[in-house]
Amino acid sequence: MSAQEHLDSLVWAAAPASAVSNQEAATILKSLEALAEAALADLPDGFAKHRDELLELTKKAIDGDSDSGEKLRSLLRTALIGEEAEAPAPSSEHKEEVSAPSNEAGEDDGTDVELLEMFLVSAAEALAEIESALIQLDSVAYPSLVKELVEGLQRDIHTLKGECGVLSLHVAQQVWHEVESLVSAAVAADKQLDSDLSIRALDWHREYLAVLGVDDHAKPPAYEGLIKQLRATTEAVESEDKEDNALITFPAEVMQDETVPEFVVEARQHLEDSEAALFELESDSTSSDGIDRIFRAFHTIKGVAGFLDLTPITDLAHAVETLLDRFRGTGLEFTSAHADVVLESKDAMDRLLGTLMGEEGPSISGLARLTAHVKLVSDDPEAAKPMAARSIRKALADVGIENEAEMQEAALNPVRTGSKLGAILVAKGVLTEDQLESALSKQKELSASGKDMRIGELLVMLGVVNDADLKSALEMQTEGESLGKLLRTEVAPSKEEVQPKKRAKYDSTIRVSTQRLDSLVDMVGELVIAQQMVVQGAETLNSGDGDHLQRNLSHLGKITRDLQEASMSLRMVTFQSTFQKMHRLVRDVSSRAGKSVRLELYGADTEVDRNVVDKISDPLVHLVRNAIDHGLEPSEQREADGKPPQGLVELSARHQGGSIVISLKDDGRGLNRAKILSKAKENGLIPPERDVNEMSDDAVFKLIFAPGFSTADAVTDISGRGVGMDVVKRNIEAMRGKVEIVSEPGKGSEFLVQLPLTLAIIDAMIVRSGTERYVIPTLSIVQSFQPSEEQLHAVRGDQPMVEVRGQLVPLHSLEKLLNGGFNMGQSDSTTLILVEGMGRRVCFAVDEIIGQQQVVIKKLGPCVPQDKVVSGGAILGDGRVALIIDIEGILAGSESVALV
Amino acid sequence: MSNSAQKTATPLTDTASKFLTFDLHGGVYGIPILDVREIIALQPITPLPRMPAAVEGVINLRGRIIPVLDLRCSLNLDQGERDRSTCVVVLDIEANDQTSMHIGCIVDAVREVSSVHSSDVQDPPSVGTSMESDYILGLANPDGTDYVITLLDMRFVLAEFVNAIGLDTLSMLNEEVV
Repeated sequence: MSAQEHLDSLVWAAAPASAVSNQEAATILKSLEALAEAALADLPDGFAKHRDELLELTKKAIDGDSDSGEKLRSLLRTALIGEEAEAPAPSSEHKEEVSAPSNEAGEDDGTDVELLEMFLVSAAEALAEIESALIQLDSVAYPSLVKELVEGLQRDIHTLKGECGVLSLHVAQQVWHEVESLVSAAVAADKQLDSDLSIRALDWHREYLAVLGVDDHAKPPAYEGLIKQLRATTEAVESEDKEDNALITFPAEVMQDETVPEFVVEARQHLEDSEAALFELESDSTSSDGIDRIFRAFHTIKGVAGFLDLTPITDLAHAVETLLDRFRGTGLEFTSAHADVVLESKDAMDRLLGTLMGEEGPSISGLARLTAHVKLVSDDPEAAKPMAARSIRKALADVGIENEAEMQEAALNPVRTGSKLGAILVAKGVLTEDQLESALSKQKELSASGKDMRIGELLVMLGVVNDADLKSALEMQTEGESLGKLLRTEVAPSKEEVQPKKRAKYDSTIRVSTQRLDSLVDMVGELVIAQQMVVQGAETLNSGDGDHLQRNLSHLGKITRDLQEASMSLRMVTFQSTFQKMHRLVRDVSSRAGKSVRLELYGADTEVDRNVVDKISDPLVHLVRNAIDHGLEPSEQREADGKPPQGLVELSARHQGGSIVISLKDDGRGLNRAKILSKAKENGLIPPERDVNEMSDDAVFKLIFAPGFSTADAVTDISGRGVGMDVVKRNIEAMRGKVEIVSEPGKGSEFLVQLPLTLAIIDAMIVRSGTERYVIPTLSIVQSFQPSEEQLHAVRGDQPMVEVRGQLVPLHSLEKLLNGGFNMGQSDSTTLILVEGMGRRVCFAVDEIIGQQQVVIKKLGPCVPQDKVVSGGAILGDGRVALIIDIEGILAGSESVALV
Repeated sequence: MSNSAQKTATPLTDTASKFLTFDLHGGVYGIPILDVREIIALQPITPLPRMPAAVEGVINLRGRIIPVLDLRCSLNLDQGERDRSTCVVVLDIEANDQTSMHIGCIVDAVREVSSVHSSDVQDPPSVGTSMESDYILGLANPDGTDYVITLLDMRFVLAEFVNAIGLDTLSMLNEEVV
């Protein structure tokens, strides 16, 4: 037996019974003696230290001392598991677990749905925390802060890993295990952490969470490549630590070659293209064009690299080329496992190219491993799959250890764990009594439903206690210290600082099903209507008892408003997570654009309706991307202009009046009026002969929102991805919001997005036109007025115009406009409403303004006009339906005038 | 269009099917009872602009806005006076995306729920009717009645108006739940 096997049998023998039987103890003794004889070189240090103690304890155990049996186990545990990072020794128990018919993805059928739900929420939070820590780590330079951040990061990752383990999400657990080792390795080597990779792990987990949210037993997304890469990087970091010269370097004369930078730029473009092709392939595995594109990319790189004598690049490109060739025209399916291999190679290639530009290169061994793997897969395309299966088995093995360690810790004293562990934790100030109580009741609930859980696990999973605290508490527990002593030593220091933070975390995890919330909001909408009905009834009643009735009614009104507010507040969420995403986006985009950008966030705590937050994300992404890509100048130019080289993007949210204003500001070059105008003329957005000097900046800037207006071509020469600003405009206007642009050449530009607080209820003006009443959103109304004779003009044939503040605005009768007529003709309408949207204006003639009120927006059902003239319906106080005018739709389909 | 009709056409099984019968322009018509949600009195209708004449407008059905069709007009029958017996039959019909949609149909008067055996049903005559025979499931003359019931496939009748807004618009509307 090898030393390792002896150790295994020791753990095995010691684990199951609290008192070690004679026979077992004899076995242990035997093993120990064998161990003592064996060379101790390959044993963990901890074990060697405790060897004598172990022997002694074992002897005592044979004599029937049950306490020492227990101590023996705990000692063994510390000796073995304490060194888990260096010596992940698979114990026999754990082997048994692996051979048991657990299914591949590691999903356990018994996974409690409620627990999973809880996990999904807390995991999302943990991910956000990890992400922000990673991104901060990327930017901060103070060693003390870095240390703090890294420690926090390690804690978060460890907790998340533990949670995954509890829920049998073994794959996720493994991924986080790898990330954890990567972080530890980076810390040990005192190296900059590869946050790109960790962020990939984050993204992967997000994806997984999304899938899990839909289906409890969903298989995790492709992870083999990720894990492999994590491992490779960890190893690379570790080996770098040992011998720094193991990095790939290129001879100096090559680096000085003039053609090299050109080659790198070209090659990177090819790689980018191949990545895009890869993603296409992943969605459509049959696309042979995709394979060809990747193939071409690597082939070109190989050719040029060969010419420049860059052997590592040539070798890798050749291997990938061979692999891809297997899929060309052979009908073999290009699976995501293959895509992972190619992606990995692509990333490695990217790093190699970076090396040429003087960056730190990949390790030689890592590259060799990768090349070998690519070759293996190209020899046998199926190999990508068995490898994956193998890594699952490996994952389970690794996970088993983790589980084992945690389980053993929690299980050390099953009888007393329930009460005493809790007590220790409370004493340490990690846990409040309330939290303990709820956790205990939860535990009871669970065991009633046939699912036993240790209190420690439960607490960790609930996010109340972190692993480190639990571990130390468990250690105390095993040491058998009295509670009183614990209280004396532990209570004072930590209690104050820990509690508030934990509380806050609890507060943020309140969850309400969106469906319920929606129906509540609907009901409240009804209530608002009902209240209006009563008010109207009272007005017509006009009886002597009106006083009393009025009082009751005003009370009802108050309740209605309160209820509405309360229910609305349930839906309110902060911009925190949306803004957080922008950090990431800025990081990605700025590195892609080769600019240094600082993002500052303000007002992330501003609360807004959940739907708004969901829908604002996309437009914000476009705006931020535009700001960085087109708004900010390259560093050199900035310096030349006397600006700090680092660009600044400011994202803020605030309440203003009854709406939310989100502002995105950059200190870049600002919008170029002349370029926008010339492009607009080119595109026919404004007539070429038009005198543009008359147009206000506001009107000019709004041209960039026009569909088909490519800002990329118009404003800068950087070719974007053809994402037009009209997406931004459309999404925001779909939310009944609007966008304004403030820009000053050379100083920067600011996009102001104004949004309603909620999507379901709007402020509106009720007007009568003809026999019908219509609802016009107040947000679109510029003013309402009664025109004087001089203001009315009949220019351009029979299209009446009205002069408002020096501008002639087309005038339409609302009723006729809606019903398809475009002429005002003779009408008695004397009240005009000037509305604005999409940077255009038009005037409606209505018969009467009935009043202003909040209305609940309703869908019109399956029959709506094909022309967009009404956007929905609202039920008014008398129970009848009034149509909500779709201002944008009308402006698009009728004569209107651009803002001047 | 025919696709949706085939998919959802109510099968005339050999056992009896129940039909809600009503008067329209002097004739008796029947709609499968399973398509009917409720019958309500005629109430003020808010007209929708730029819609075919058959679409009268929308009404408020307990907080939900539903469209109302004039069934006479949809079947190309002459207009008639509306009186106390005129009412709205609210249909509950599955839309293309499996969501239920409510549509009101104005009829002259509701009669009763009749059982119709498939043996009583004849195919519609190919000529001589004042409406497209596509609309018609069949003509029935149940025992003990002295009139013929024209059995309507409401999905076919409505398809024209639902199609009028385009299928994608329909699904879009359903998405945009407010």
